[in-house]
This record gives sequence, C-alpha cells and structure tokens, in this order.
Amino acid sequence: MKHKYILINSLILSLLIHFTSVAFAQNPPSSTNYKIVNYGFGGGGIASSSSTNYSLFGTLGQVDQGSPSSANYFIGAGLEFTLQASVPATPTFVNSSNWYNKLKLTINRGGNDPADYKYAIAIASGSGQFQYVQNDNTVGDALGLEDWQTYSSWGGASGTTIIGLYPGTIYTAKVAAKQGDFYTNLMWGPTAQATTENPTLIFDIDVSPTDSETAGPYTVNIGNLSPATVTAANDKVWVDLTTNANSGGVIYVQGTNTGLESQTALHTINTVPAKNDLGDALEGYGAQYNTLFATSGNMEVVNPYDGTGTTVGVLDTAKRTMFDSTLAPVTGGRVSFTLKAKASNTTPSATDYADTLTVIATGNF
Amino acid sequence: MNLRVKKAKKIVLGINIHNRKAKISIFLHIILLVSIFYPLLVPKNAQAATYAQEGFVRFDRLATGAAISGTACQKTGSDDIGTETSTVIVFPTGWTISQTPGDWTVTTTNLPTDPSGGGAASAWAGIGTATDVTGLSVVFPTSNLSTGTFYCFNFTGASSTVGSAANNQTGSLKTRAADAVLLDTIFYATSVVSSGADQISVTASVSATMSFSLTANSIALGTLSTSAVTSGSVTQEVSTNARNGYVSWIKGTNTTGGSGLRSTVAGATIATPGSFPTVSDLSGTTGVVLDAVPGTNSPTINAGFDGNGTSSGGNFEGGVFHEVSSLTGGQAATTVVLNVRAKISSTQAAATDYADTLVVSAAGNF
Repeated sequence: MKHKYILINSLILSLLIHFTSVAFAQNPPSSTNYKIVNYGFGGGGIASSSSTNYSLFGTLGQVDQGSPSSANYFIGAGLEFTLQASVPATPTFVNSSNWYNKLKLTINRGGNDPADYKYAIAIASGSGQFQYVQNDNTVGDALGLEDWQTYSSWGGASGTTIIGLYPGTIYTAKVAAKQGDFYTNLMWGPTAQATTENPTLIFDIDVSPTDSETAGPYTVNIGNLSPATVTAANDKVWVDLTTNANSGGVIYVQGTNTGLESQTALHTINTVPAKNDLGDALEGYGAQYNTLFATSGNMEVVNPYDGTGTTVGVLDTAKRTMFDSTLAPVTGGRVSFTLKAKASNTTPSATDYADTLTVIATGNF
Repeated sequence: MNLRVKKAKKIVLGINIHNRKAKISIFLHIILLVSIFYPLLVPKNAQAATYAQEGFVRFDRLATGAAISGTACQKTGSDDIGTETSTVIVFPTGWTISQTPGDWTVTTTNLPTDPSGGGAASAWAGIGTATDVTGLSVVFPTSNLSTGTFYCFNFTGASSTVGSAANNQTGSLKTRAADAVLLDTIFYATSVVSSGADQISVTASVSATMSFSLTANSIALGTLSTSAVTSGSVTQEVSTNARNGYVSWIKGTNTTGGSGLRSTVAGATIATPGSFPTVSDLSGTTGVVLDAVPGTNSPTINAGFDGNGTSSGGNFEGGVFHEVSSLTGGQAATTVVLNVRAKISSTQAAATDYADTLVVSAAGNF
C-alpha cells in the first residue's frame, strides 16, 4: 500500500515537470512590458566579446562568496574583483606647518595607475567614524560621485589640503580608487595618521635700547623736549609675535590720551594726524617702526608707521594696526618701534607729560 | 557580611549615604562629572564645521587680571549654512567669567577693518546683551548672517577678568541655529602677559623757557615842544612756555622833583602827570607819559598805560613798578611798543640833559 502511494506520487511529479517544460517552451515568460523569446542553459563563456557598439566581459566559474585573506593579503574573486582599480598605497598625510584646522594628504598611486583613475579620501578623527573629503576639500558625511576625483584634481604630487578640522586632534585617512563605472566600496587602502595642532599665539613686550628681553612694568621716557627739536626716546619697544593663525597675526597699539598729556600744565602735545613729519610740525608725538624680523614667515610694518627720519604715525585712543605678519602664520616674529616727540616754543613747561600705550596682538584664525 | 562590606565602603567615602541630602548630592556630583567629561568620551566627527573664511577674538587687554572686553569678528563663508540665532564666545580656561548674562553687553561702533582686504566691518546682525552664560561660554542673540560678509561686535564683561599669564590660551567663536544647533566654529588662541605687562608708560618733560628783549636801550626825544607832543619808542618782546603766560612791568628811576625826566644841569624835572593809573592826554597838558601799544599776539595793556596812541599815556612812577602788559598761555615773540611822549610848558627850564631811566621787566607765570 505504501509503495503504491510512492509510485503514484512519482508519476504525478514527472508529468508535472514534463508539462511545465513543454508549456515554457511553447509559452516563454512574458508580461505587458517584456517577453523572453528564447532561453536555455549554455555550455560555457568567452573572455570577452565586442563590436564597435558594445563590449562585454565574460567569466567562468565565478566564486560567489568568500575571499581568502589575512592581515597581509587579500585575494578577490570573480568579475567584480577583476574589474576593480588597484588599492592605493598608504597616502602621505602630514601637518605641513603647525596647522590647527587642516592637514595635507598626497595620494600615493601605483606606478601603473591609468590616468582616468579616480580616488576618494576617507578621514576620521580619533576613534570617530570615517567621513569623506568633499570635492571642496571640506569633510562631509556623504561620498558623492563628485567626490571621486582624479589624481591631478586631488593636487597630484603636491597633494591636497583637507580643511575644517578640529585643532589638537589625531586624524586617520585612507584612499580608495576606481576606474570608469566599475566600483564597489570595498577596498580602502591602508591608513595614515596626522595631527592638527592647537591654535597658537605667543606675545611679549620688551623695552630696551637694544634687542634684549626685559621685564615689566614698562616705561619709555622720551626725555626733555627741546623747542623746535624732534626728540626720539632712547628706549625702543620690542614686540614678539608667533602664531599659526591661517590669516596671520596683527599687532595693535592704542594710546590712553590723544597725545602726551600734562595734568599740571593742562596741556597735551597732540599726536600727529595720521602720518606727519615732526620736523615740519610745531609740536607733536608719534611712533615710527624700527626693526622687523621673523624666524619663519614675515613681519611688515603698516602705514603710517613706516616713515623714516622724523616722520611718525598717529598714536591716539583708537587701536591702530602697527605690524602684521602678511596674512600668514609667523614664527619668531619680533618687531620694534620708536617714540618721538617735539615741543614748540610755547608748549607749556611741565615734567609730567605722559601717555599709556596698550600693545595687543591677535591671530586671525 | 555584605552589610559590613557596604559599611566599610561608606566609611572610605567618608559620606553617610543614609542621609537623603547626601544621596542627592552624590547624584548631582555624578551628573556634573558626566556632563564635564561626556564630550571627551564621545567620539566626534572629523569635521569641525568651520565655514567662515576667517575670524578672531581681539581682547582689549592681554594682562592677567585685566577686565575683559574686546571685539569678535568673523568673515562668513560663501555658502549659507543655516539661519543663525545665537553666537557663543568660549573664553580660555581659567578666566573669570561672570555668570550673569546681563553683565555681558555689546556695541557695534568703532569696528575694525577686515585684516584680509581692509574692508569695513558690518555690525554683527542682531547682536545684543547676552542671554545665557554657562561656564566659559557666553551666548549672545544673533540674527541671520549673510554669506561672504565681515561681521564684528564689541563685547564687555562686567565682573570678568583675564586669567593667568601664559601663551597659547585657546577658545572658540561659534554661531548656532535654533535649538543650539552648531553652525560654525572658529578656534582662536590668545596670549596673556603678567599684570600690566601689556602696557607702556610714556613720559616726557618740557623745561621752562623765557626770553625777553628790547629793541633799543635809549629813546632820544630831542628838543621838546610846548605845542606838540614829541614821542619816541622801544619795543619789548617776550617768549615763554609758561602755561599761564607772562606779565611785564615798568618803572622810572628818577624821583627827584617828582617822577619824570630830570635835568641835573637845570635842576628841573619834566614831571609825569597825575598818578598811576590815570591816563593823561598831553594835548591838554604837559609832562611826560608812557603809552603802551600792543603788538604781536595783541597782549593786554594795563589801563594805566593804555593811551590813545598819539598824545596820551600813563604815569610812570620812579622806583615803583607798575604792570604794563600781560597775556595768558605760551608766548611766541609777543611784543608791546613802549612809547614815551612829552610836551613841555613854556616855563620849563632849558637844558639838554633831561633824562630818566625806565626799567622794564617781564616774567613767565608758570
């Protein structure tokens, strides 16, 4: 009885397979949108086939999953792996110049990388997740097609500067490559690390006839002003400035009065207006740059303090820009300026002519 | 046994955690510690969200203990990153920051120019007195900022002071959207020097000066007339930097037979009429008078010597100085013309030696 049931079932299954095959052969799959005219199982494939209008790649025996690998190698399989671009080498990732919010990455491509290779850069801070360098060199969450750029677009051998980073942070970067339209986000290259520095600003004042370090409180005595004679203070004011601010540092000078003021004589030897030659003035007061120096980068004097001889610039209650680092970071910047004054025949005599200068420095980050 | 262990832990902690207030205190302390260290424990994204082209916080003073005030500036980027509703200045660690929002006031006058390009600054849109202070972060209200614009505002923090002296003290300037969503961050560094070491006291002195001169030391009146007034003059000149100006005086020398021109040969005196400070007009009388006429800088002439410029003048008393002229402030070659005028009566004894010596003096009023 049991064997009878098995026999009947086998018969029904065979008939079903037969009629289905016939039905498929006579009525291929179709819908209102498509119809497969014919199909069947082939006996193999060819490496490639092409004409002037198309190109096909073919493969045989493709492994559908699994890739032998270790910490030192990776063997891919199948057509997809065959078509992948080479994995880029470790990029050169550095902080070129005490940068606090940017780092430079240079792609180290293989010697045989075709010119149409495109690369993407991923970056992460600390233990954070990887993000992607955008085509405007900022960092974003998404890796768009436009963020795949050629070697030259990423700066070539000079590299590219990734901007908008946190200061004082270790960053990890890696590079992937693709060619043409074939890409899977599978093989990022080995990582490299670089660290942003914190923003810096070093500032100090010295008062001395020569270039030397002195301690506050600081006083510059211009001395006794003789009528009709321009008198220069023997002591000079020296200012140190170091900053890694992208747009450089600025040194400002601000007076407390509008000139040298005497409380007893109730008179002020007014500052020169803007820039003026004290030799031509009846009386006046102002500052003139003396020296400029920087270990790296540049320091420059700003008009109106760039005069020579007896030409000086204004010292009043406004913050006046006297020196800057030419819109770029500077290391070991050291500048100096001299105070000069002139009294007239009628400048009231007094021993308490005075002003207080405040010197400050700012980095433009 | 378990109870004994728990009790031992309580002793080690030194806190009686059976006390309800102590429990609350411990709980709050834990919350505080977690809130402080949370940002350090949570990984951050790679991007610092700095879209601004540049920015800075410029402090008015860089000396420890100085009151905090300054100017914050930012040049916005080319992309609109959102609608700003607040701005946060994060001050360096260790600075004393008033936790009262009302202590943080702002202005938008006398703003600096853009260090990169020199353009004028725009007033930071919607900036106003702080609305919140948390630790080192002071939050100011803000309106939407336009792209590519250099914005600035001045801030002053009452009861807030700069921290200890050190280089490389860092902070940040942030803009935020609604619900405190961070839009942009500029990290900055500043340097703090010791108390007062960001200032230079400038001193100078001006010595007292005074110069005085007469253009001549004699006046020859010649033969005097009974009908006409004869005049001769010298000019005094004074320069001084005395802040209160100068004063000059004059006196005659002769006192024999009264003040005036004395002839020893004739034993007679052509007297100066009247008495100081009365001015006499020789048109109607005789004698000798001094008429002071202001010159350069128009000094003030004492009424007692302020004649009419042709025929009148004042009494110059022998042996007694009287003020002739004065002027306040520094003097540069201030002049007075000292005119001696004489007219004799028909009975005046003839002689060729009528003379007197006038003494002129001046002083700076320092």
